[in-house]
Parts: sequence; C-alpha cells; structure tokens
Amino acid sequence: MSESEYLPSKLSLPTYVPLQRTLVKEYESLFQLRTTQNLLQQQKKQITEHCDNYINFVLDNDKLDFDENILTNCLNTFENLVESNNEIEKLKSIQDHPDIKKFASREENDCKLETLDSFHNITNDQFPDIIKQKHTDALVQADFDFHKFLKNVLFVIKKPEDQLIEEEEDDGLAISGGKVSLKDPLTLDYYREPYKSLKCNHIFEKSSILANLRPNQIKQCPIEACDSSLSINDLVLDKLMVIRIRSFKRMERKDDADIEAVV
Amino acid sequence: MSLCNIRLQQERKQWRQSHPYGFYAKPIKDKDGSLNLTVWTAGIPGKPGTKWEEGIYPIRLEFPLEYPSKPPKVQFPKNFYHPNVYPSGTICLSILNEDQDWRPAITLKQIVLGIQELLDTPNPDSPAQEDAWKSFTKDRATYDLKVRQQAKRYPKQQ
Repeated sequence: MSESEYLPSKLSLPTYVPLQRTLVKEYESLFQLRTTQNLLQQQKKQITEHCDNYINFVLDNDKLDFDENILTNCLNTFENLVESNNEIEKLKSIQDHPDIKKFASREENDCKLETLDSFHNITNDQFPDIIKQKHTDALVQADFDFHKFLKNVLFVIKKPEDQLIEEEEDDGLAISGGKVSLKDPLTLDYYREPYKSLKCNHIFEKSSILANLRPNQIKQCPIEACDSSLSINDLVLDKLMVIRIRSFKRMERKDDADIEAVV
Repeated sequence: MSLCNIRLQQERKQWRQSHPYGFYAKPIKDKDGSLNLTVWTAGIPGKPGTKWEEGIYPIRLEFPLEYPSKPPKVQFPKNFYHPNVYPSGTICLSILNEDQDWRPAITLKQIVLGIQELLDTPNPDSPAQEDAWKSFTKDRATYDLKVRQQAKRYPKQQ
C-alpha cells in the first residue's frame, strides 16, 4: 500500500502534536541550567560587592556625594539578575514536574498520514499550572536584605530625616511622613558611629552605649518604656543611619553655601 | 569630655532652642562666674485649671557624674507641701528613681513635665511626708487651702 492510497479517518491535526526529532535536542539543552545559574550567582555577588565598595568609598571620602544614578543602576542590575534567576528556578521546577517528565521521555513516531489516527487517540495532556505561575520564592534572605538596603539607601540620600516607607504593614496601610531622629538619645548629639540594637531597633552612639553597657553585662534598653534587655552582642553598626547622617550634613553644608552665595 | 558633660551641654542647647511654656531651667553659676552644668535650677508652673495654677515652684536638680546612667537628684525647697515630697524637699517620683522607671534617654523636658503632672495628681500609695499626705487622704478642704496658700508664696510674676 502506497502512502497516497492510505487516508486516515480524520485529516485534521491531532490535539497532541509530538515534538519534532530535531527539536528534541534543543528542548533538552534548555534544561542545561547549571552553568547559567552559576554565572548569575557570580554576577549577583559581584554587583553586591561592587555596590558595597562604592558606598564605603563615598563614606570614606568626605568630599564625595552619593551618585543616585550609580545606585539606581546597581539596583536595576540586581533586580534583573534576580529575575533571571527566578526564571531558571522556574524552568527547573517545570523539568522536575512528573507530567513534564512524561512528555519529555515519550518515545514517539513522527506525525505522518499513517500515524495520524493513532495521534488522535492520544488524550491531550494538560500542561501543569506550574508553567503559568510566576516563580518568586527564589530570593534568599541575603538577597532580600541587600535589595531592601539598597532601596533604603536611595531613599535616605534624598530624605535623610524621613522615616522609611514600610512596604506592607500588617493592616496593608503604608506608614509615612514621620521624622527620624539623627541624634543619640544618650548624648542628644548627632550620631557619628550609630549602633543599632537587634532586639528593639533602638540606635545609640557607640561610645555612649558602651559607657552604659560593660562587656558581659545585660541591661535594660536605655529608652523609656522599652522592655528589651541588651548586651554588647546585640549591637551592630547601623550603616543606613551612617548614610543618613552623612547626607544630612552634606545638605546642611550645601544650604549654608547657598545662603552665602545669595548674600 | 565625659558623657555626662556632653549630655548636659546638649540638654542646655535643646532647652534654649525650645522648652515647654511657662517653665524655666538653667545651670547655676559658680563663685568665679563660670557655669556649673551639674547643678541646675528650674521652675515648674502649676497647671492651669488646678489649685496649683497661681504658682511657679522652684526645683534644684543635681546631676551625678554617672548621669545619664543614673538620674539627677531633684528637690523642691525644704518642707514643700505635697504628699510625695520628703521633708528634705526630695521628690518621690518613679521616673527619678534608678531602681524604678529611670532610663538614660529621659530628657530634662520629660522630667519637668513629669513633676508638673505630679503636682495635682499625687500618688497616695507612696507618702513621703505626714502633713500633706494626711490632709490629702482625710481632710481635703485643709489640703486644698494649704496648697493655695503655698501657691501664693511662689507667685508666677517675679
């Protein structure tokens, strides 16, 4: 029987169409992800370090101002890398999905007139929902912290005295408009080396909190009505406050210079 | 410079920039005319609408070397008439007690406002002198009269 003599009962295309043999390889190569992901991880690490170095460099050089463009670029690059990484994570989870595995491993004939009928008999597999979902939970804590820090830096270099706008409060309302004190509650003088309590987020000048808190000592937080007990180990340098102070003083000096220029 | 000194200078600076209406507070001058930041005198006006309102009551604040880890010692004049003031003039107030509610972040402004609040809302559970406490708990008419008489001794216009 020659091909032309044979006619299948239905000539329409089947709902299930197999992958062309030549494409199978390409399809599989899509899942060779490890290299790409390693590269992304490295780039993410690089941009994080680069950004840290930039911030430290500006802080160390009193004559420099923070460049908003540089910081924004860092933020965008970082966000893109995270996005790419999310896509890869998504591909991975698709690859591991049992339905997808079944697709990929099916030994099939080519779709020809002779085989068309059999293809019509294959029930159409549903693509799992996983393909439609956006993959978002790949952001590890360190990435999350860095991203937040960078966004906060961009905020405080413009508004050093303003409270950060918290993205999502429990009741869904964003709080804003408050002012942040740039002064140590113990000396009432501007911070130089602000240290933050990890327990209650209260900030103190290093020298004044150390005068209050001896090594191995645990004491109540100096702020009235605060219930936390602090030890030296609960205190970390608050870099964001350092940047606030720095930007505030730069702005103050600029204002003074402007006034002098007018006079 | 010590933490105590830095803090007191800043307290003075802040007070000069702004302070609550009707109050005054200043460090005393030593014999040679220089400022002694560790001892201050201040005036607490009675709250309007209370039987204390006619007067402005002088206090003396002594800041220890360990300030602000430790609270200042705050005194009215001797024999000041108030249930929570000892015959020596020392004020019995939880925020001024190191073992109670004192915290290093409490400012001068908070202290003087706290004392103003105490004037008309004494705490009957911690008597510090017999005279005012007895009248306050048993003979309110005498108590009110004595408070008003005392107010006339510390008139607002100086």
